[in-house]
Amino acid sequence: MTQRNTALALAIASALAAVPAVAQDAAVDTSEWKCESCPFQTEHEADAELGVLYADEDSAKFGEYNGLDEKGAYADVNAAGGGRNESGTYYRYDLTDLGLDTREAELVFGKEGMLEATLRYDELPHRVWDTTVTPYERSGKDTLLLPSGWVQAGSTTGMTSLAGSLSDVDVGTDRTTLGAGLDYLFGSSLKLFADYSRQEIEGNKLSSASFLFAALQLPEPVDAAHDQFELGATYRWKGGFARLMWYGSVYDNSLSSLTFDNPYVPLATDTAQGRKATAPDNEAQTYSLDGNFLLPWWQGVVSYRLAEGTMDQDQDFLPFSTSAALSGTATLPRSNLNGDVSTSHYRAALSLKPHSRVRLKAGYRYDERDDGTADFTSAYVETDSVTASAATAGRYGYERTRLDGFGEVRALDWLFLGVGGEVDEIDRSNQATDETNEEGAYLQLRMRPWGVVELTGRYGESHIEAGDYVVLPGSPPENPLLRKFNQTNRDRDFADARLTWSPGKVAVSLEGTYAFDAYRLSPLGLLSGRDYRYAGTVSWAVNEAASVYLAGSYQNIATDQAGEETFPTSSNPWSVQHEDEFTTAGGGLVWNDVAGKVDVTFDYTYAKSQGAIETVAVPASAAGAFPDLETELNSLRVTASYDVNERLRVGVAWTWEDYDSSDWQIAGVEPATLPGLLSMSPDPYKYSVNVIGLSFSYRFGGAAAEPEEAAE
Amino acid sequence: MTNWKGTAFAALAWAVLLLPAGALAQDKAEAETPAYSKAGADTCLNCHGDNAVVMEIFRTKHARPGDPRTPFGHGQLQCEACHGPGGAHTKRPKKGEQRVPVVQFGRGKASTTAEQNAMCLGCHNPNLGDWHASMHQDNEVGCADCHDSHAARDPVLSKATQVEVCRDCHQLQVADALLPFAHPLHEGQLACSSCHVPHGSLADASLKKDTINETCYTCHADKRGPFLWEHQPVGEDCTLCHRPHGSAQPAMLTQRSPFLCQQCHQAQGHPSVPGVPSGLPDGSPSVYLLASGCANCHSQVHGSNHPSGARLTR
Repeated sequence: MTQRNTALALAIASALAAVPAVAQDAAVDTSEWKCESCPFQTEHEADAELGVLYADEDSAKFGEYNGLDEKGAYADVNAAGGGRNESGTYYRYDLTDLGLDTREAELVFGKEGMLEATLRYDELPHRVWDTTVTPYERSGKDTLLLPSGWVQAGSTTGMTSLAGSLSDVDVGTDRTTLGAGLDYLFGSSLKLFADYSRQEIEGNKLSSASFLFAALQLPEPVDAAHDQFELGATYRWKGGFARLMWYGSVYDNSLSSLTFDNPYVPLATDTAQGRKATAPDNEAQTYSLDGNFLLPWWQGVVSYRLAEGTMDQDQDFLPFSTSAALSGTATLPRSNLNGDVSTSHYRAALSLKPHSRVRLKAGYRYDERDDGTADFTSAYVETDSVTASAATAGRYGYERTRLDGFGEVRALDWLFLGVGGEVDEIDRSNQATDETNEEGAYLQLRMRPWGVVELTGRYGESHIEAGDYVVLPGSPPENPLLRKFNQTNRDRDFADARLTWSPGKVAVSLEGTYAFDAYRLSPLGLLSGRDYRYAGTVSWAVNEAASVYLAGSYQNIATDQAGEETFPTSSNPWSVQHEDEFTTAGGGLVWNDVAGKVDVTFDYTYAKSQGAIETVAVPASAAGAFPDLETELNSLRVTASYDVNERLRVGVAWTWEDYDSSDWQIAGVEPATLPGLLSMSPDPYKYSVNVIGLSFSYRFGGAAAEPEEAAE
Repeated sequence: MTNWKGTAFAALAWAVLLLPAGALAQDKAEAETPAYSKAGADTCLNCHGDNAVVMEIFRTKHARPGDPRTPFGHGQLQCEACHGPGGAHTKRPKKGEQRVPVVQFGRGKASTTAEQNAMCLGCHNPNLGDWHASMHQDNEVGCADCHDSHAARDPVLSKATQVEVCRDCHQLQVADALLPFAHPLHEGQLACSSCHVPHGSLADASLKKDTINETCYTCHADKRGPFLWEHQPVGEDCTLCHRPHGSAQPAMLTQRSPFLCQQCHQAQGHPSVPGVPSGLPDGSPSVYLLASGCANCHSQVHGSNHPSGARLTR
């Protein structure tokens, strides 16, 4: 820990000890408050839903995260309930989407004022592609083989057995999360807590690999688990709280590598297969102390956090190559990385209100990523194809220190004027720029001219000054005129505004943001970026039973970048302008208690993205504008439910979603379109899916459903 | 790095904390202690007991008689723990006068946001962590703007419905989730609070973990490493290349390959070759441009643990 951070820790610790105990509120005699009319829960109560859904089309994109990716019927089963007895023992459960690939369940049980335990189960599908093909077949858990009779060639055009070897393969994963948590209370001040979760991810992903300049896409298996632990204690008192916690994370990948047949004519003997490493097993942990304490003056609050952590990785290295001949007599400098990164995070924030019209805030943040891994230098084998001269693995770390402040004055009863700023210093190791310093400031205005209107606006600038930019040596050398955008000088203007207007039953909300970045010393690389967006929503509570809304948004992101094809002897400069536009619109209606029995909802969503890319290059004949990248979504959902009686409800739902996209990067790229890439040929997403549903809901126990009334 | 920032901060902390409280104390008017009702909730429910929305409180954590920390715990103030002393409220108003209000929650109510939040923070300060340092506090967001404390199932606490609550203010971020490549917020499979702490944290953007990367690693631990061959921006900040709220580019990238890669890499040879429309399938299809662009070969952009992975190809 540096001297600076020691001082910070000492200040916080001393202040903690100095905070006086705050007197308890004057006692109120509640001995006669019997709460005899309080209907505390004393029996099991639940809502259960049983139904069926039907999707009329296969689509991975439609089912990307809802699991309805295949045409057919699905069970729609949900239940939520709980119970409690007079001794204060209780339980609660939520069972959701039990018939779908998104099923989840949570069970909570405990003893009031003593403990609460939680068990969790959750499935999350991620369907990515259902239009992909591959000649590879999985053998074992970590090997992909080509079919017998495969004809190797120097390019895909010569792979004469390719067309007959292709099989459909869906791409995606299923993530299963299991969890358990426990809170245990010692009185009203001390709580011990523990939590464990395990994510299991299985499936495959569209990956790629290469043999020098010839590449291939392949369905890379995914089979990994991630365990996370939290253990800690929270102590609260009238004047604040403190929490001591340990967080642990263990990532366990059951696949350490992926071996795959070489579809091309090998560039060297003994290279019929290639092998790539998968994400290595790794561990991380963090010890932290955080909390706050309320100062006895100026409504002051100090929040703090001290955290120290490590990230370790010692997965055994693979051999240099599948080819013993290419590996030769080269030996690994060591058997594994023995990677060792330490992290430090120290934070403090102070909030004061020295006057009824003034509030002040200040913050300090320090982050360090210190990579203590020993150097690694070795000759190696390039893509299981040729030997390469020695290279050294760079270790990257940084120290980041930020100070920020904000002050606001209520100049008039309806007018708030604020000013804020931040200083951000990053020191990096082993990079082109050792240090960047950013200073920024902004002005803020908040107005409440009338009770129903609030307007907030902010404008600010920030400037990054970078140290000398020295290109790191490499082979081939990097263009010395290029500046990496996170390590160079940058001027930023930013502004945002928000208006809310709530006259009675109507509410209007408008907001917009703008930011412009100029990398003023970058001849090449990212030169500028601009992002502006705005959005609005109008809602109207027609009456206690009905409400409608309209919403829309627009976003425009533009960037300029430049390059140079050859250097230093000749230029052939080029530049690229990007512009992405994104528009959304939607509206909806909720109408409850129609004729006292029927609830109806209607929601429509429209979203369109459009991306334009234009390259200016030499020769000009090769350059120009790309076809627009486009996506368009139309989504409509209508539901209705009918209360058969006070406990039974029947519901129907219809969802229609239409999606169309064009993407020149994958459109028309068949497995052999590119001589140097054996593609899996995903198609741009396109679907039109209807999902209809019918369900019955029943309420067990407790009070039967009654028409809703507004709370006072 | 100079030490002035840390020293300045430590000095500020000492100065504020050790200043005599008496010298800084504001004058406080001696307020008359308001009266509570005679019978607590039994008094309140005489009038409000028919209101189903009010009565749902008895299916929530706030109404746990066995937990002395809750409003309905033994010896606690029941309804008046949150709504404040109701003695005056229970008295019949004189003709032509309004009934004396209790603390009311929600937007547009007579009670100010500060008054509402003060009632909540009286008990919840330890749970709210860094609320006082949060943007929500800065913008005077009321607890009841997001929470429905009378609801048996508070929508903001449910993964499936939380985004609808957040959308009231965060229209732009929620709209981003409709972009072609986005986390599953609209599907209800991820909540804003999966990454953010709405009650405030001392991390960027009120994230759950200390840094952006450490937040991402809670689900994407395969990107954590450390790897033998690292890609510098990966360990520093995931958002240098990704837009976590959604993007029109695959993998939620800020720009697609090869253009994104060429914002930092233009080494001699193919890395400096521009992407041009003549490289599309109807021209001279380019492996540097189509499919995954640079990642067709350099597939290990998050780092490689292969001893031959120097160029992130293995």
